[in-house]
Amino acid sequence: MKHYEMSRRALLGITTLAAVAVAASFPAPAQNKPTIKLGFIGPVSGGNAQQGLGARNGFLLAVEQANARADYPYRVEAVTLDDASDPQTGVGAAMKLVNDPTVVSATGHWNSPVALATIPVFNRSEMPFIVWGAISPKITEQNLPVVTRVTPTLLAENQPLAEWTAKKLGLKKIAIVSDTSDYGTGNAKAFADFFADHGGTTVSTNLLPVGTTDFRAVLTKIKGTDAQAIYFGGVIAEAGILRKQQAELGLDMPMLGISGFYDPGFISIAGAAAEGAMVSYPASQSNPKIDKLYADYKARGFAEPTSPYTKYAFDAANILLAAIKEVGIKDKAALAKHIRAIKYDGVLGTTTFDANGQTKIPVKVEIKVVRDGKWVAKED
Amino acid sequence: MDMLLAQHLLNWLVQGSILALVALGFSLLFGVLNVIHFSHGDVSIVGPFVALAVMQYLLVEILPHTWASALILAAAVAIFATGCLGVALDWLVIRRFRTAPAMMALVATVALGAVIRELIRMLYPQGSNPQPFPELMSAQFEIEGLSVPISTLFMFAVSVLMVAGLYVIMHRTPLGMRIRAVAQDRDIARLMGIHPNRIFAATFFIASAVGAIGGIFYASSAGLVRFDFGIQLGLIGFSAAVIGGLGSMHGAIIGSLVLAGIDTLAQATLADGAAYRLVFAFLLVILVLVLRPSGLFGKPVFEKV
Amino acid sequence: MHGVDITAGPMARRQTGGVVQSVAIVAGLEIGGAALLRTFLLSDATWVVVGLLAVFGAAFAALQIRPRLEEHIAVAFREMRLFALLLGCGIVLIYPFLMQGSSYALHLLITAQLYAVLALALNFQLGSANIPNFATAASYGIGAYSSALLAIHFGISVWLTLPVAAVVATVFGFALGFPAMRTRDTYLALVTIAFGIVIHQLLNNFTWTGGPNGLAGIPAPSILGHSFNSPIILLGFRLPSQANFYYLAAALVALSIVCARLLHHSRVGLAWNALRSDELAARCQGINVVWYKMLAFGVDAFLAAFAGSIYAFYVSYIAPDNFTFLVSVTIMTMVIVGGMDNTFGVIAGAFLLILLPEKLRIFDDYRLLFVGVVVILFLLLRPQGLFPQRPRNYGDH
Repeated sequence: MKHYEMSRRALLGITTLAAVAVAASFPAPAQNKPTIKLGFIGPVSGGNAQQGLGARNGFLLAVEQANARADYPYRVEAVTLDDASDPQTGVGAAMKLVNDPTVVSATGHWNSPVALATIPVFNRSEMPFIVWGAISPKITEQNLPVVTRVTPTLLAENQPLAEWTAKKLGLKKIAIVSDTSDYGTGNAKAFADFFADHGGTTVSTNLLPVGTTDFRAVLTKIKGTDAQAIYFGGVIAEAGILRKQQAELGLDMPMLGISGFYDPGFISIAGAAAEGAMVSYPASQSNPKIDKLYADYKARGFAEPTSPYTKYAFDAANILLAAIKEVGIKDKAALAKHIRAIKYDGVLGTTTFDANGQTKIPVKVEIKVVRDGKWVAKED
Repeated sequence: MDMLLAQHLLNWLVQGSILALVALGFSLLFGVLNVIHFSHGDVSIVGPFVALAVMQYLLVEILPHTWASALILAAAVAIFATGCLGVALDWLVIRRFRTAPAMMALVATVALGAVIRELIRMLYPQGSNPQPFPELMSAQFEIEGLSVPISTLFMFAVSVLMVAGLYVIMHRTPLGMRIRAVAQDRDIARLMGIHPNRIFAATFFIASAVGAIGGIFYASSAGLVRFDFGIQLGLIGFSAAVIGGLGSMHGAIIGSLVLAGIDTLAQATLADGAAYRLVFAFLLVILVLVLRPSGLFGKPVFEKV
Repeated sequence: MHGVDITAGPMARRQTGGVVQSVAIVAGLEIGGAALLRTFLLSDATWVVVGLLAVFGAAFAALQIRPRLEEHIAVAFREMRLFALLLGCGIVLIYPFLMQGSSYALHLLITAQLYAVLALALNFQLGSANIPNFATAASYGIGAYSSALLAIHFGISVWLTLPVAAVVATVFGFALGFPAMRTRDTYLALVTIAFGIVIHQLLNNFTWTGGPNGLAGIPAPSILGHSFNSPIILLGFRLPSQANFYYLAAALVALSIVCARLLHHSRVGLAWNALRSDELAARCQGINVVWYKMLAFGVDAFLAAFAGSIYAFYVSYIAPDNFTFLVSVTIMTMVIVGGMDNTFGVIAGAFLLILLPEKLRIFDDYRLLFVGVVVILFLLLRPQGLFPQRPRNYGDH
């Protein structure tokens, strides 16, 4: 049965293919470059891209500025990877970084679940890692020696706000609206606890799945309670929707939150309803350095606008660069120790880390309020 | 309490109306023509994006002050454009899976949805960010302390109109007859002189256009639109269509009202209801399908041996 | 001729030069494939990755144009089955040693293997019985959470939690099977989607599952004192600790393949295929449709749970976002792109869909778009999947 025999040509073809495959698998000669790489991981795709892209650009800006300086001993190459707010993708990115011998350290994550998944990876490879966005206390509670964080935990941000609301605003009853993500649930619980500490009560807690665009039902429910204000623990987009629908339903009460939705985006989404909304904003972050950052950012002409996390990623990158400059890249453990002990003066203020790697910048807040379509400092 | 109840009912109406428009598209495609089109939600969201783009252009170039008419014009363009997009997608991709196994069409249209989302994100300036969307009509009147936005009544009216309109098209016009003929038996319809591909194109146009209206209402009600809104809108819209019964026009709106009703009820009455709203919604879907496998008003499927 | 394979049996013996040719084909393909995969995993250079994809694409284009090639290869593998098996096992065993100590490559292999198990699990339902199941990620998650909770809160040994988690997930699988009985096709798909979303939301909202922050600090398994978190030192070679999980995952894949083949060749597999062909006719033949459908759901959940448990112990951290609807869609895509009801095909599909997005990070921003377009093109150009399902053989083999 000749036609079931393989033709010689086909046999030759397959063998050639196999041979090519084996030959191609021999490694190419190693290349030696006097550059170091700095890694960035964050959500640059998906629903949280708004936060991640702004941070990534802050990171890139810092790297570019270092490369432009004549006195920086290394040429820095930025490696930006996407975690898509997914723990698995994040771990993949982390593994990629720790496997590249030219990557010296990294900064990352907006989502706490992703950070919680990757820090063991960085720790096992002894790669210094600074968190620029995730705010769950659990991240630094583990006290992994290579991990530090430049963002205040949600505890640090909510506590002053709760105190201010109870004492300065003099409110006793509050309604909480938030989302069911780690960010939202963390905020809701923290605020409720701190508010209770100062004698207030939470009359209604409503957590909604991320992606909810209709808050009318819970707002109507709140209308029927004796709440005096609404605390929102979520992010920019939903905050805007909430405020807008709140006005639509005629629910005339203040809206409060932490710096998560301190962003022009909130105002453009909520429109006229944004008037009067208040957020707490870490006070040490209004300084000339930060103005310079924003000016540089604008001059650089990134395609995306800044996000509230641009400054955190910027300082994280700069802290890494400063530590590398002083300690060098040979000893990773020494690098991690140096970062922990560092005193860095940047756009966030003077950053030092506590025993668990959490930034010690005190969160003294100033209250910002929306007036005439702009965020301004609240008049006392 | 009465005021609150009335307010809840109004909220319910808004949600149900918006959902109905998307559900109608699903019902038409899945139910009548048996086309698997899991990207319908994403196609519907293209509508508000086109509307935004047109409005920026109009406002800058041509009509710098008439907000309202700019919006109407932009919406009209968007609806038409989305309809055409539906036709294009059918012609490019979906048509080729008509005779393929259902699973393949399913995965292909899910992938198609992802492609549409990513294209929106990349082509629209700053597409990753949510885009503010203007309200259709911000006027509202007060009845005894209850604020009734006119937009709510408008959306509800449009939904009912669409349902009625589609019903009329399906059962009273030659086009509708042809659609039903193709749905019944494609080959015999062809023998009767009907071009099945043209009928599919027409149905895709109608379904996508109606979906676009739903998308625009959705964006208007939320005040913003984001490239990934299509996922949830599609899932919930599809669920609403299924609950009502695929293929049934009035089923689409009733299914939407039922789904929106459970959602509002859960959030309004239970202390933790809001966190579990998706759980309630989808448990409802499972329940309805267990009790009535082809939905509330769906035609029971009889298999001819 | 449908279903009867005339290349086996008396006819085959008339082939000349058969054995050498077959050995060459099998060895060439297996070693060549392994080498290609290794290069793909280890290289970072854009042109290498794209080049390898092109080679891969060319190979399948060749198969598409010359279907005879496929038959020859299939014949070769069938004849030299034992050799193929031994060679394959050998390659899998020494593979980690060839990875140049790259824990990233091992990580990718582990992830790909776990997803291969998930794809195999779904294959029973989707491939064999044509039941669309969008809830595989839910079973994956239930398995992971069960193991993790037992290990963390009750200190139960990792190895004991595996079967318990599998049982728990199977119970949930049957729970899903029940409403699924009454529905068909699109409605059935929606029921499974709904179930998947409900489980995801519940895992997210309950505090005892750790809420949205999930469970951290899941202990690593250990055998005879050797913890899976410590590297393997063998014959002077030092493998990163990931290698432990690589072998565990490989063992699970092997187990799944064995299960798949046993079921496929048994009455159960036959019944599922009959269901897929024509449910009514199957019922008329006396096949208990309900029981076999439930069994499909159960088996899917059982295997998926094993994969979930291993994942939990490997990453030592799980969160509800690991188990979303999109994960189920990914698994389903793997089965369909890989080739329904073809064991090797779905494994290939899993590897492709895990490795491709990771390696295409080079394109970062366009990653999702690229994968979506590739999937659609694939389904258009090669709808039968990478490795199409083969008709059952009733010759003497």
